[in-house]
Amino acid sequence: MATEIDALIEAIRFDIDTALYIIYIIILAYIAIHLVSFLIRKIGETAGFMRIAANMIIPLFKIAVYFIATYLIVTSVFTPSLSQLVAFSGLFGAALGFGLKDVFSDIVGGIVIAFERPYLIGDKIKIGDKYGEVTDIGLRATRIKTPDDTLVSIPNFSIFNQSASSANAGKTEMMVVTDLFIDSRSDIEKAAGILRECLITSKYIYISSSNRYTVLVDDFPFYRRLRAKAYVNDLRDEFEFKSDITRRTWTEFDKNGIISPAFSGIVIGDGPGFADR
Amino acid sequence: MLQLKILDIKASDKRLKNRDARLKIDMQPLKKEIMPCGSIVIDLKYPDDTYTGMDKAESSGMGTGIISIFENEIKKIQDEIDKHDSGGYENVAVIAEPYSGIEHIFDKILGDNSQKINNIKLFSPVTDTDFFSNLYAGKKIALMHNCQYLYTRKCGGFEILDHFMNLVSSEDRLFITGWNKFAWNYLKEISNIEDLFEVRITIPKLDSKSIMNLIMADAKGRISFIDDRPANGDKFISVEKCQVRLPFLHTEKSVCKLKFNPEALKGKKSKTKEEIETEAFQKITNLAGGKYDIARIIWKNTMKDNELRLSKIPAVPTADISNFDEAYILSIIISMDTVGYEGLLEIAGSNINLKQKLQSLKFSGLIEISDNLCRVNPEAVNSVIYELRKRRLVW
Repeated sequence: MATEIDALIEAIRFDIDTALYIIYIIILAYIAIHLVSFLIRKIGETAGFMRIAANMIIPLFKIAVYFIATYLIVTSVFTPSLSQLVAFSGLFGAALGFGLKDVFSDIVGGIVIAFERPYLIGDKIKIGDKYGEVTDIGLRATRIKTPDDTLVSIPNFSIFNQSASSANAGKTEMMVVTDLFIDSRSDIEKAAGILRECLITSKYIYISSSNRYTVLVDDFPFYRRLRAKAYVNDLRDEFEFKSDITRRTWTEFDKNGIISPAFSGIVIGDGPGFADR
Repeated sequence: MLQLKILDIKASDKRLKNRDARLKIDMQPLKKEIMPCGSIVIDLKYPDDTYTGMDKAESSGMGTGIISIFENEIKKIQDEIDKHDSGGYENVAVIAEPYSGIEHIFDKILGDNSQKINNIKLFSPVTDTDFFSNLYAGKKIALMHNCQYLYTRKCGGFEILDHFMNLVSSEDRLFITGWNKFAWNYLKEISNIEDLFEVRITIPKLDSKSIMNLIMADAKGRISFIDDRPANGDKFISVEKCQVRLPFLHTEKSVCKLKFNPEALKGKKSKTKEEIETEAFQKITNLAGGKYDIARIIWKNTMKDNELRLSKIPAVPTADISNFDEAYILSIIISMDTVGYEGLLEIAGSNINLKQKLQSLKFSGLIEISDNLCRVNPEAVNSVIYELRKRRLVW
């Protein structure tokens, strides 16, 4: 084994030309990745509801470029024989054991994400306690933008030990659940009808044969819950959609005497029905 | 000889509040001694120049050409009218994109069945159920134009539609209704409207040959077609749209095909009159998106002194709508064909600065505003539809 390692070290040729060649490859790979990612994102933004599908290519392209660049760099330094390759694997394994384990796990995680696609660039995902839109899937980490505009890097290895949930699964539309709570004595039929109409007339809604909407009513000891489930046209408008439904529904509730729940004689809200109680 | 039918609408009527109410008397000339009598135009707001397909002067000059193009659609409607007497009828929904030529079909149906049909044209959103009391005028068949005005996309805006749907399901009368395609597609997702109108006819897009035949049949005098474009106007590869009937689908679909022109590689050569004419109508059809009424408008705007220059036919415009609210406003306008400012304000709500958005759309050349009425600029209709479909604001 020691002889093989010696032979491997002897086979390594490293001069100034090789160094320049490696730098050249790294720069080229960097430019290619960033340029192509930028172009795909730009084209994706103009593709409307096909935006996320267009972005799907980015991680695959990145992995392909990384592998080609690595291959070119390795073969520029030495051309290993089979026995040298075995020796190199041994060294590589030792390196992993000493400190590169996490990096390697992240890279494997990145490859799994690129090919298995549990989520895509543009998806709204939740990993652990982090929720946001995926802005980039790198070889080592996935970056997500949270609703309050914070960029969070999540190591790709996380997909092996944490559940990753994607709210839209590669599509631009996404289900949004909006809850409204009303007083038990309010007219529930009227309230559900108002919520339904506010839902279907929202400018953000998307309805199709496979993307239905529903209004559910649930009764609790001190109040009733109205739950609207519908798809927002573009997941980026998730919170605007929710706000639009809530705002317009409560405006109509106020006009129709439907009031907020009361707790221990205290009425929350000040709808027209308040004075009648 | 003229027959008159007067619809008694009082300005004090509750439903006419805040509207420029006026009585209209629909007078239609006799055609082969048969008069489409009993036609009622219920016009709550809009004057005569509101778009209803084509100018009256233009449509009156139309030959039977357009009718023969829509022969299948007319036959389907006529079949239901014939079946109505025996009781085995189904209500009809004729669904069309703006400017598709639905009015020509309805005119033909009305002309052939004038004794049976009561004709109702809507020009603005209906706001009161009293409207339905005069729906039949003693006839057994109601022909209703612009049924997209039976609802308003706002909370509380579906009462009239619900009432109409109850009427359709309970009455033993045949309803032939015309709908804006985008309004229909929206309504079919939020209601059971498809169950009530089992015969659904979608007006197809026309190919360039049909449009050429129709326009040339009505053209007066000798028309000269001149190719005055620069030499690189001919492309080696171009994309053409054609209508194909796909397996398992009952309707024709528009698909793109590549057209190769080897002559373009050899440089410009003199073209025959027929080639230039074909190319001119191909350009007009692409711009019009296969919609006959738009093609006529482009034809009218491009022709000068019985000369049509290819360089004068505008390129297909691109609708660059970056603002979501503007796109939403456009989707409402195109779903209603024509809509007044007040109606639009009710739908848009207070969160959108409507005046600003409309001005912006007007400056972009996407809409036209006249007499407080908004409609999509005919030449921009197709690019607007493309952009709104991409954003899934119309379905």
